[in-house]
Amino acid sequence: MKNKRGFEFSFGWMFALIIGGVILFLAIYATVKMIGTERNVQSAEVAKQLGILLIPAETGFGEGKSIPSIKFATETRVYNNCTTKGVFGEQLISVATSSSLGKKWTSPGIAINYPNKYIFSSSVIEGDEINVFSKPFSFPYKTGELLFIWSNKEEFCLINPPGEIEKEIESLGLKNINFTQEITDCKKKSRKICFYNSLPECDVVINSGDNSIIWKDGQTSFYDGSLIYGAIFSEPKLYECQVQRLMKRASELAYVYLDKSNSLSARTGGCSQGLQIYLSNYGKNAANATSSYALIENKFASDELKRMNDGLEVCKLW
Amino acid sequence: MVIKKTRINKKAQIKLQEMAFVLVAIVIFFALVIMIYLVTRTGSLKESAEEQRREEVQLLGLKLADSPEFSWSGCSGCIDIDKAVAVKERRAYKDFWKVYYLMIERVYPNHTIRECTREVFPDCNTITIINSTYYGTPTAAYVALCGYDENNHDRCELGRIYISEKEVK
Repeated sequence: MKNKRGFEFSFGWMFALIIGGVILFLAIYATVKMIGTERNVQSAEVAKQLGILLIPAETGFGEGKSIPSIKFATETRVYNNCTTKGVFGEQLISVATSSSLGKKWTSPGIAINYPNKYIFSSSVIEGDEINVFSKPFSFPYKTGELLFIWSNKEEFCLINPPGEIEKEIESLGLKNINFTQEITDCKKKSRKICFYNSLPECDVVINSGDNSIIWKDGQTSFYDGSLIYGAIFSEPKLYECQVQRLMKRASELAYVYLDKSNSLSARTGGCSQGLQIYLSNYGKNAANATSSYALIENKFASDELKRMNDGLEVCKLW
Repeated sequence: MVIKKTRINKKAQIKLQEMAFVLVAIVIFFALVIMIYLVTRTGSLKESAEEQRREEVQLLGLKLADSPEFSWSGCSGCIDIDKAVAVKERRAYKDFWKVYYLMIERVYPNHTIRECTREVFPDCNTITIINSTYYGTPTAAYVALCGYDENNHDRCELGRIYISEKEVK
């Protein structure tokens, strides 16, 4: 005889199953949320730490300087953003970390803003190691320390670069940068930087004759001095933004030097007085920069200021 | 029969109550675990943020002396005192270094104890560039303060730079 009685599903069981399910759901939900929050916090911490780690590259005398590569615990994306808002504009750095739990990449964490940093790189630097080198930018006085950043995954191929650039890159031992005579010798995935020759395969063409940069999309920018490296490592939008920020700082510095000159000439009987009107005009014009063309527009004034300052026998302003 | 049924009902009620207590205990346990985790995490976050802040302030001292607004062309890490007075007068620099207090003190030789302005310089001993309402304990570092004397010769003196970033609450 078969037992025809069904399984007795008492109220106690049902109650336990429902409440148990709710508790389990809440526990899983809380864990997932916590992991997400934790990853966001971690990303913000990494962005802040990165800002601190970059400080040694910005200090000290000398021309180019490289610091040991920065290694991340996991594969990381560094988002480089820039804005020209405010007196000096801002450098924004945010970070996203990868994880084997949940989504591979989190959305970028809180952006840390730096009004006094100028980072030239691709808009997203991805890898577990980044390379950094810095160079001062002078126009005509030192205006800022430029930071160039690229990851261990990025490669650059410089076709026929000027001798001094090749020499400097070699002396600093910068990684993932190769030099060739022919574009066909470049690795397929590398960023191809052409000097003098404009070929369709070039990602960037740099003409030292008119100090121009032609980007892959046909847009033209201009450079002066160490900004040539900005063309190698950066993207057009970022490059233009950073140049505008540098011009804003050059303008404020012109007023600082003007104040210094006023103070000095009052104390010493006219010392450096001749530069004052030039500094005032330069400050006004540099503040109005809306593109990298401002480098060309203000080149004459900058050279003139440099010549006048170098000509001072005593009390040079910079 | 009635007595047996009442006994079963009572037993079931006790079981239900037991289960309810266990479930309440589980919920309280989870809540406690989460609270302990959050308290520990917030504490360690505050500690790490504070540590990063201190590290940044120390490095910032070095960076400031080399920044174009303060650097003296004659030596690395030396501050141009005339530029420092000029920067003090310019409001644009208030948020530039993201510090809440920035002061340069002329330590040796002695000078009149008063704040430097364009009018009284060089007869003064402190240049307060940034002074927010709230700031933590400033970190100090010795620096060389350089400028031109009345005969237009380079002259450096001993100074101290005080920097403070907002403390993590």
